[in-house]
Amino acid sequence: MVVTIPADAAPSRDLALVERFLAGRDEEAFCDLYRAHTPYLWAFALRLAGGGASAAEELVQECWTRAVERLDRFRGASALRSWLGGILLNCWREGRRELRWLGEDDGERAAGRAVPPATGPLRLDVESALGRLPDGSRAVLLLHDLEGLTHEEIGERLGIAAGTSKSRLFAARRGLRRHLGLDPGGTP
Amino acid sequence: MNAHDDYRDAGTPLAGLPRELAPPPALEQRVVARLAARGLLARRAVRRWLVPLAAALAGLAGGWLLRGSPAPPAAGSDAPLYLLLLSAEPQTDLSETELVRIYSAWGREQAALGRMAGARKLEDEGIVLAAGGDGPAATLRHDEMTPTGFFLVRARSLAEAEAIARTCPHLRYGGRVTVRPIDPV
Repeated sequence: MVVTIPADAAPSRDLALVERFLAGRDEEAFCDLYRAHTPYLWAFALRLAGGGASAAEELVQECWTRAVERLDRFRGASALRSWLGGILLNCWREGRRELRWLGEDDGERAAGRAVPPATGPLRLDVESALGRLPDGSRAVLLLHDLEGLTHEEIGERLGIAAGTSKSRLFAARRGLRRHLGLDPGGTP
Repeated sequence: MNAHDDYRDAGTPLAGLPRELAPPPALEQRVVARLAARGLLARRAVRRWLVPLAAALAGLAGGWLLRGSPAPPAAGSDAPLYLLLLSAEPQTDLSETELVRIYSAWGREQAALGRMAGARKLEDEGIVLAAGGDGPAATLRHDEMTPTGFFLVRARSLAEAEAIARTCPHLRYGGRVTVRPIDPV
């Protein structure tokens, strides 16, 4: 197999970890991959799930299951972290579709959410406020403000128009600031 | 500038959030278990030598041994119990089929002599708890001394138990067997 090793250390390490795992599908090799990327996936899953730890655990489990199923197709064209994040996002979208089909809506889920453990009051506030946003707006906010995606990229990943991404981002930021007490009036 | 740019200029409240968070310690084992259950992972538990060991132990635990062996016990059914704790991976070029045959033959031989009181293979996963700590349990790491299975044999003395252990094929191929008397109290 021909593998191009990028100059950046992280992709190079990731490709080496992937190659090692694929050589024998060994548990220890998988655990090295898991430990390198799960802190990122966990933070992403926890926020996508609005702070629900059990939902985030299921997301991470399903994400790794799908990733391992198709890891032999990963060639390093994108960073492994982005690749895994994309899979996690798809798992979340599918789960959301199921919940919608069962009759739940974003508002009901947001009302009953826990928040992740915090390291300080500011972070607790932000994480809590994130959990109170509607799922669709929160996802756009995370993808744009934390993941650094453009509206076009967000539109592709979430199956929405770029314009919808923009308006959701606007609403999410406004909602977040309102929940944080930074924009009491909440006027657009 | 349109209305959407107003908050972009003000910065995002998410800017200070950490990109990584420590996942629950038990999550790793759950992910590994799911992958193994779907055949996506070669578990440590299926290391080559464990296959014959598991096969041998399955035969021994099949019922006939523990219900009573065909030959009278050599050491007596009330003789002290000794734990033969197996660890480390033997080095051999023998085929898996051959290893299964060898391990099974040894187990049946010990049972026929009335020495065998029990046998089990341990699952590969496990956790390690430290005294006094409220922190998360550590995932079991495997090394030369990590137990992977055991035989429980009856013998009249530690020397006799040692003699039994020395005939175990696990030891013959470079594995390790720890012999420990079971406290009768």
